[in-house]
Amino acid sequence: MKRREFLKYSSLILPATAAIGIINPFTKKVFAATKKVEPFSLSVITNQPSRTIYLIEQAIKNSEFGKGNLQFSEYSLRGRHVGDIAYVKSQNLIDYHKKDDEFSASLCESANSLSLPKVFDDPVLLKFSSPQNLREARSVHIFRGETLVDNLSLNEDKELHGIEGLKGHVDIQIKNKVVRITSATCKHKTCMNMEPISRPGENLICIPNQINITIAGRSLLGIDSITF
Amino acid sequence: MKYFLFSIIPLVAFNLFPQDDETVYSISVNKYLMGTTVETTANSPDINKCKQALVAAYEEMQRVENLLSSQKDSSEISQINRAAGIKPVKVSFETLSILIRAKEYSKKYKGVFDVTIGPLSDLWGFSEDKEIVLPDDNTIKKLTKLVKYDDILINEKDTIVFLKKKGMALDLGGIAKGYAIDRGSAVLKEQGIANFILNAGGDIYVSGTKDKNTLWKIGIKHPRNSNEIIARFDLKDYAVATSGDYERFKIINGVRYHHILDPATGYPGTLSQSSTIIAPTAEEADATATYVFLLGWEKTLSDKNINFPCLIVSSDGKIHYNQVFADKYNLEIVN
Repeated sequence: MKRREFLKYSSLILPATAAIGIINPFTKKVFAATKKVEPFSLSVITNQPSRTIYLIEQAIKNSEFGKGNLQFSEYSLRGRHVGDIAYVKSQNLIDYHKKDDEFSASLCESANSLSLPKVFDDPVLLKFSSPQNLREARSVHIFRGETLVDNLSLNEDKELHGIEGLKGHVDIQIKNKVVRITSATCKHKTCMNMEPISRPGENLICIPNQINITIAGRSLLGIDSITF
Repeated sequence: MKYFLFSIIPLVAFNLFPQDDETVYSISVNKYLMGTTVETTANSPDINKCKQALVAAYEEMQRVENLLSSQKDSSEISQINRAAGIKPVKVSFETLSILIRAKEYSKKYKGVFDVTIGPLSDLWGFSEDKEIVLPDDNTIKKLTKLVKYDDILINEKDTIVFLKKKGMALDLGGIAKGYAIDRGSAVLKEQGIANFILNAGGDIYVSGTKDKNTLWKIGIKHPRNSNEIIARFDLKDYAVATSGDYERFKIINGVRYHHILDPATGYPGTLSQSSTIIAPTAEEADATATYVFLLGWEKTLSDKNINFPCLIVSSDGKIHYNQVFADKYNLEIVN
């Protein structure tokens, strides 16, 4: 995966809600941080998730971001990807290799310890971020089972055909910042009957195909979970 | 032994109340289990430890599904169903226990909730991925005669279960998901995760709090607008379940047919759009939500069995709730 593609995945950081595998559709504001710090996020593509988590936890603990409440996400990726760390602070991509601050230096050490950058097959994407509540939806994530299979812009009209699922496939349409399932091979067609989605945290799920289409970000409904 | 106990207590206290300067991560996982999505959000200062606990909790829920699902040929429930009217089946103590409780719920809820609804569930087919067609009325009438919880014969001493009539079938859909949630929650707690929400297809157990000063906030889905909620409320160390006519349904000739079947008629219940119950366990919330959905608001109000917080959206879309829900759970109607 080229650097541009890596950044495509790392750009999910800020709007993403905490999830391992599939984005939590109704996660809401997590914790109020005890200290006001600049919003930040880290994305790491790695083949050693446990060790990476440990190293990044240590780096965060000793940084300005360490005294508060953070979100963690983990996604499986398909295919070949360049493992690396992307550090975003106040929506600016920071070159941590320059070691401009203590946190960047820690990240540099972690990257060296993990032998990053390096190419991996089917790695995982780990995300650590402060709990922003972005009101503007920007990204559409598509998961099959626990694997993030695509990331699309909500701002670009697009039709995607033949998204492969467990038993068949689904087609989706993004038009005027609204996402809908236009076709599904399952028998119930419940996913096609669901309301189209347009806001952060909303999702469309085809259970038989185990396809989950989510608009990144935390729900604006003021809740942590939903009973239905 | 006394010294051992003293050494444990401070550790537990530390885990329950992370220090102010500690980083706490909100970690979520979402997997497909029990024919639905099971989503857990847990707060922990240690991501790897929390991930291990979540894996163990999902393995436990998978084990329960394998044991109790009537959709899985190898489950003990499927074995009982296949042997209906033919021979008794030896089952595990766990299956026996849940069947005893299922029979008790069926009795308590006067057969309006009936765990032998299986023949009708199979006929309508909402639990499977198949095209829903309106079943023949005579077939429905014939099958309603097989729905009778008294015909589950249980020999506790020998852990043997027998369905008296051929064609009978258990469907634990009304409580198995709740039981799986309770088991998954127990595993998380055993592994030291104190603050979490476990949500299996809308049935939820809530443990602890979101942070030191904030309770977890739960929303109730709008029955007719899937992207909205009708109400939200606070919950701590309790379960909540909702039965609704909007998750698995088909409109045929302008009529909504859904998966919550009335054992008396064999047809989907028509008095409610959704019913929400708060109870100590997800299993009890699950069974009771089905019952009150079919009972409707008016009868629920006067039913002495219902001492749980309860909110019902009746078939005309009106929202009803009892006082205990409003008083104790900070209920806020939003739509």
